Amino acid sequence: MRIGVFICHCGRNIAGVVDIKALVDRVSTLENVVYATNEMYLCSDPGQRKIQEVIKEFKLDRVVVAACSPKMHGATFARAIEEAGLNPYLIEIANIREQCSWVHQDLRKIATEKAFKLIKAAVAKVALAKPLEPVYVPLTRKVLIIGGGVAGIQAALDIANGGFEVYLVEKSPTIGGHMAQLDETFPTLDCSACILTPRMVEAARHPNIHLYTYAEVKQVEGVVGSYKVTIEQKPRYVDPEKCTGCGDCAEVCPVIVPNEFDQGLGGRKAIYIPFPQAVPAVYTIDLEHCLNTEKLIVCEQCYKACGPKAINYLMGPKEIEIEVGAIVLATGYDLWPIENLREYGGGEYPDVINGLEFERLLCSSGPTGGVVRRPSDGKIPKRVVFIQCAGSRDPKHGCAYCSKICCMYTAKHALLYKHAVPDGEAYVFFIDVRAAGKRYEEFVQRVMGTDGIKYLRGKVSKVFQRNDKLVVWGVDTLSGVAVEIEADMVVLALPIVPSQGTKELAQMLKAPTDEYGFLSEIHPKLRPVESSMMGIYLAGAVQAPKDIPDSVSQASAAASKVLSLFSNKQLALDPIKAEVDLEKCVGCGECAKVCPFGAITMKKRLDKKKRKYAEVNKALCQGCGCCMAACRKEAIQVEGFTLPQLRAQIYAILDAKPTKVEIKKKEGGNEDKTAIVKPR
Amino acid sequence: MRLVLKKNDGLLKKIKAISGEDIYACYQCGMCSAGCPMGQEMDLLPNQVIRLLQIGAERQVLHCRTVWLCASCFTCTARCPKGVNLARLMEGVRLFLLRTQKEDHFSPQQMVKEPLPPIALIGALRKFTT
Amino acid sequence: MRTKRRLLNLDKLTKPKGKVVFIPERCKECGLCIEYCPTQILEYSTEFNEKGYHYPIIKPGKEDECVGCGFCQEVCPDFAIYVELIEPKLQSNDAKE
Repeated sequence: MRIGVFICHCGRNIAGVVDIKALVDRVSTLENVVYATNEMYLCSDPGQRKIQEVIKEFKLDRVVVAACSPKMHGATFARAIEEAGLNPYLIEIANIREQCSWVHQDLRKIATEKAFKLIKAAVAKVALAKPLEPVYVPLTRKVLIIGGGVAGIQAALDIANGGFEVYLVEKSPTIGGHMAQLDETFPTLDCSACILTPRMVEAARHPNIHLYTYAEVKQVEGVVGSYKVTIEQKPRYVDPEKCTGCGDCAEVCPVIVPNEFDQGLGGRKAIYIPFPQAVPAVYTIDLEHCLNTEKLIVCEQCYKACGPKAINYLMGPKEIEIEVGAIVLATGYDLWPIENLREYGGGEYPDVINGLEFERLLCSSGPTGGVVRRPSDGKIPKRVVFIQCAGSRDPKHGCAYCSKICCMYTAKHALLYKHAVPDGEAYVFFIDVRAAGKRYEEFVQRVMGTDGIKYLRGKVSKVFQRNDKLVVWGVDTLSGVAVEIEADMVVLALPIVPSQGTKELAQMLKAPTDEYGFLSEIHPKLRPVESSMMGIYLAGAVQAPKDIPDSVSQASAAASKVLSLFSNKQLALDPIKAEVDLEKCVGCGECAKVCPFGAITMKKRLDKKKRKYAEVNKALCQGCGCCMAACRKEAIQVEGFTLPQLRAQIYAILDAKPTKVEIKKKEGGNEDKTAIVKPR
Repeated sequence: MRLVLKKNDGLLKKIKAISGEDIYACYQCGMCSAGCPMGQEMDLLPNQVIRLLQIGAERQVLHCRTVWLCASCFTCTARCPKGVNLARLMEGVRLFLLRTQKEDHFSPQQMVKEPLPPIALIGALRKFTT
Repeated sequence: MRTKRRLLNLDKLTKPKGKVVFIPERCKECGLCIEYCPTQILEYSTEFNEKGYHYPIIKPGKEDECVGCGFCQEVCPDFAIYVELIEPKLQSNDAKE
């Protein structure tokens, strides 16, 4: 055993607190240590080269690095010793920065003693380390994208153009998401549907993209490289092969219900297409509102009116099972319920509406054909008040974050309202204006300077009805004046929340979420498109509120991660996983019970007694160690963190070995083992 | 005339000690001023009062009419998105002024001439007198 | 709870128009047609038929609201009521939600 110890100064981070020279002297006296040295910055190029030279010159077979947290440079040092010819798992890192010098800044003597103990423990542990090889798991080079909004479509196109198969699953009958509902997009005032529908059609026609609309993901099993997914496609009762999208069926349907695509402001029939450019252009029967039920079919108006005979009342749900190697989550956002803002009359007055509803009023394919009308009486409003930060940045209402897009879309709404109603007045109440994107500030300045649009700095206190006007009580803090406005319509910029169903989906995929329900990325700065669960990637507003350019960028970023995953010849996973010693295993099954990832199954041996033993699925195992803690016979251990290694660390720190092991028998036949350790 | 800002002379500390409120939580949205029923009579709006305290210009607040016009209706506190209890802060300023200046802002002789419910009289005595 | 809202594009949506035809002497007042009518335009009459049962009639004022779905026709056990489709789709509807 020839161990080399390398102690890092890390500039003043470690050397400023710990006495490095004394450490080096003491460490060189430890058992099995044949070389000990110090270096200013071990992670630097010269630092790593020094390690490699020493390994070759002194023929080291184990290495200890005493420096920062292994999360920082663990991979760096492992690669360095691998290049020098050692197995990359024959290294142990003693964290004498985050766990020592940084937290004991004023206690230098004690910190030095603690650093010594940490290095001693690392030396003891690495002496028992075994060389390990990566675990190779199967990799299916196909991807599942959940969510067919602009982010999902972009990711699908990028991956499909890269040559791999994509399954795109969307809950509603059409792809396009919220971007399809918009009239014009800021800051260029491009028609939203005009720029999105070509992409939608490309996604539907792409030979590598399998599109499943009106479908949801029901079950996900497995791990990165081999996910087994069950998709359930709800029955449309219309045959997509035969439907031409002519609309004869909808004209004769007797049922009129609010159209979700128009945010409830317009009506649709029970057999419908969400909007004229929907993809796929196939009608859908909404079973909840259709007069017929699953078993009772009486009204056949649509069936009779359909020329190609595309209607089939006897369709059932379809279950599709697929196997994919990676999953991209792009399920997008919804708006916070307006009923939460009772002080603004949300939910009570029909003329207090949210941003998406106003968008549908402005849109020429909307319920009013682009004429802005009040939902209460259909008249054109001559004075509209826009309230920004209605619920966002409001810890009291549970949304402390900023929803990012509202300042921009409110400015756009005010401008488009003036285009639609030239003699109208628009008042915008803001606290701050966040216009950080490209050409966003110029756009807002243009809107602020438009005749008929007034920007008032203050948060509105109350909106109430007086006769048939909505009275708004606000303030302009810049001039110090409290104001009252008699408005015809009030538009609230509500917070953005993760779309319905995201929570259940995250639980199914075991992907963590934050306190607001947005999916958590593994590192907020450096890795914003990957979830902590390997193989799951995030794109769009499901990760945090964002506008269209950022959603598209993030979707392409997620696609690039998937493409780089698929471009490896094999998928190699870290070998820090559980390993079963078949001679010690008695088949009690405790480990399988406690495994949080379901990675352990009990199998029958092929001997006469047919005893059971534990088998670990290396792909599912995450190396957490619960099984190791549960096993009474020490038969299952995590490679790289075995019980002898952990014990060696403890004895090194305590400077002792147990002199006696006391065994007390408790009731029920359980044993209580206590190791009595006396210091040397 | 420019307002000279320098390290405050403990005024803010005393007001904070009386009221116990974190004035730096306020991000000047103005919702309090927007809903204040006495807003139009006040010289400084409620959000301006807390702003002057935030920037260290407490002296300006001491001479305003605002704190005496405050009706303690708690609309500001109820609506504040950051949970700042502005009504309590106003009371803090009032108490500070009453304790240091030692003069009443309320004349019992004048009030007795009006037909007021007893609760208004007692409330006014508590709020405006030393 | 979005009270007092109107659907803003009702003038563009068409509904079919139907006509209900009654054969009152066959009716036995089971009430299924009244219950299953999706537009709720049927009610019991105050008159009796020969067997002594109240037969269904259209609620006053709602004669134009039959959509010709045919539920009453399918559900009647005595063939006492049936529906004729007058206009499959030409009626423009501005009824309230």
